[in-house]
Amino acid sequence: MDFAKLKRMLYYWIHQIVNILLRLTWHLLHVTIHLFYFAINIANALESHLISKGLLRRYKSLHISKLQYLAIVIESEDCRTSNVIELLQWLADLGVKHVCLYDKEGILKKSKDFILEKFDGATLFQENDVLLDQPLMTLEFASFSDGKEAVAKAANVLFMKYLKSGSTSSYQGEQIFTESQMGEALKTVVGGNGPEPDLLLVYGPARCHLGFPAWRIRYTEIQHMGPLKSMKYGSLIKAIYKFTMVQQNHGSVVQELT
Amino acid sequence: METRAWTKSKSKSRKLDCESLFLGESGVDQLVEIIKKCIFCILSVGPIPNHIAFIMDGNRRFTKKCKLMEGAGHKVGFSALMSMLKYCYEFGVRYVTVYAFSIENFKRSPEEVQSLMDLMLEKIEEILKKQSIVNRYGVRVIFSGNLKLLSEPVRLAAERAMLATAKNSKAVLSICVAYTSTNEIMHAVQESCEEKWDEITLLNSSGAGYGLISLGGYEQDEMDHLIKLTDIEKHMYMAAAPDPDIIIRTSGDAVFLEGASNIGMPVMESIEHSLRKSVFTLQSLFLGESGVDQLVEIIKVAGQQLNNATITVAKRSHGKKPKGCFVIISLYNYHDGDEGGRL
Repeated sequence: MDFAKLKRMLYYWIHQIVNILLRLTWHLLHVTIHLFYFAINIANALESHLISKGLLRRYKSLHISKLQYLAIVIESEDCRTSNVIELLQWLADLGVKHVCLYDKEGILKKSKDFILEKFDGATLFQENDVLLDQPLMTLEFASFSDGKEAVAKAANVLFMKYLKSGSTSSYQGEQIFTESQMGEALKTVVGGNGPEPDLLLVYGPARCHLGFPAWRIRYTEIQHMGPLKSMKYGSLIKAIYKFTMVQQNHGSVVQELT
Repeated sequence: METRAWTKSKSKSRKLDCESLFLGESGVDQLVEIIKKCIFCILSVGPIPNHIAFIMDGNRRFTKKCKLMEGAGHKVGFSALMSMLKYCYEFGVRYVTVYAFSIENFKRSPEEVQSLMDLMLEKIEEILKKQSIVNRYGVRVIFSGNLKLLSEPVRLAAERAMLATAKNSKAVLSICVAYTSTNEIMHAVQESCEEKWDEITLLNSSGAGYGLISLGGYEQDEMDHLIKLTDIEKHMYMAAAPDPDIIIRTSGDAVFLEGASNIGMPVMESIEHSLRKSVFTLQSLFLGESGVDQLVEIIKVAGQQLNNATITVAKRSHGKKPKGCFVIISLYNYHDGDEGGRL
């Protein structure tokens, strides 16, 4: 009896020790990878510093014309107007023509007028401005209500239309709505609905698009840029450069962007 | 007994040494196996994500890169997926979603589409067998997407698979075929409208409707909120599973693609996925301090379901703040992703 108890205790302690060792290894791995990424961050910071100084020849000439519509997702808590305006200034210097600013809470929307006032190189995006060559930059502001909630509102619109059309009492169960109808409904619900962005830059701690309307980013290249307060001119250039070098396969159509 | 065990292990290690000395394939394989097992043990100690989604991409590029026959890339991709699934279930990931075939892919050449359909049919039949991974881990298989677009035999096989595994409850595998996010949104909207319609008709017929059909009795405000966001969410194909914690896209491109929907809900950006980088990229995404922030972000933004997922994670790390989730190491021996999607 005693021997069995001793054996059980021994197994228990061995199990505990192994558990502790495993946890230690886990943490060790954590630290190693943390260090590795720290080193990578330093290298990136150095690179973007060099790019901003214009020392790396590769990044000197960007095919900005490939970038028709740029969307920027900003973490709502991180969102400071001074940073946003600086970012817009950089984009204007690079020659980006159409920008959409998105943040989940709608803070940017609220300070829309303030931003447009402070940054005098831009106008608000209008429906028919689609991708024409403008002297000034056009800005669009979006928030979560243009995303998922917009779908619910659009559904209501379609439903109302269906009811008003006075159809028969029984639902046929066929495809009542088409995608174009849905698109139309979404347009009426969401003001200033822009085209699909080519590139989405995410400024925030999470590698998340934070609720940017997903049907607009079907073929969008997504780049995670880190928090807004540590934004760098060099990394912006690098992101846009990477975008212009990518070749995409969509279904059966190969679009060469270089 | 102990000495025998010791000599056995010694001979095994000697054998390993010899083999690794010759750098024979089996030696390296065994080494890889041991490393896999070690890392597996270590990872199981940390928190595990609840829902992982895979976007299968880059098969054709892989075929070109390795100069294989047409269609071989898909087969290889499938076997890589199977091993990934095995690891997922061993780790205890409850929900796995695979974006296998998009509606856009129907635009490819008919031979390719046909071969893909045949492959799918073959694999579904395999799944239904007794010793398959699905039965071993108690996995319920769900096929999401517009199944009406598939050819008849594939659709029937898919429905049979769904019925056969309906009773399994340990884990859920959602396979998205004939799927695009816009299609899912349309479908959800359609279903919610139908449901609302039935509701109104019912009310009307029971006399409590006050002529709702003719819209007499509704205020403008109410009309705008007949269909709520929750109704639409209920009817999405992916309603069976919570939102993904991680989406992994196997080709290394950072394009979102028409795969993952979860409209408006934050999804993790796809992660580059090459063999060497995988350990670091995937783990570091979740081990580092930024990983903790990311997890917190996901929780804050994603809502209730993910909150519950976080609670389980926190519990597993014994009440401490979650250090982040751990992702399976991708042992995509075949699927060495290209850098940035370039050919």
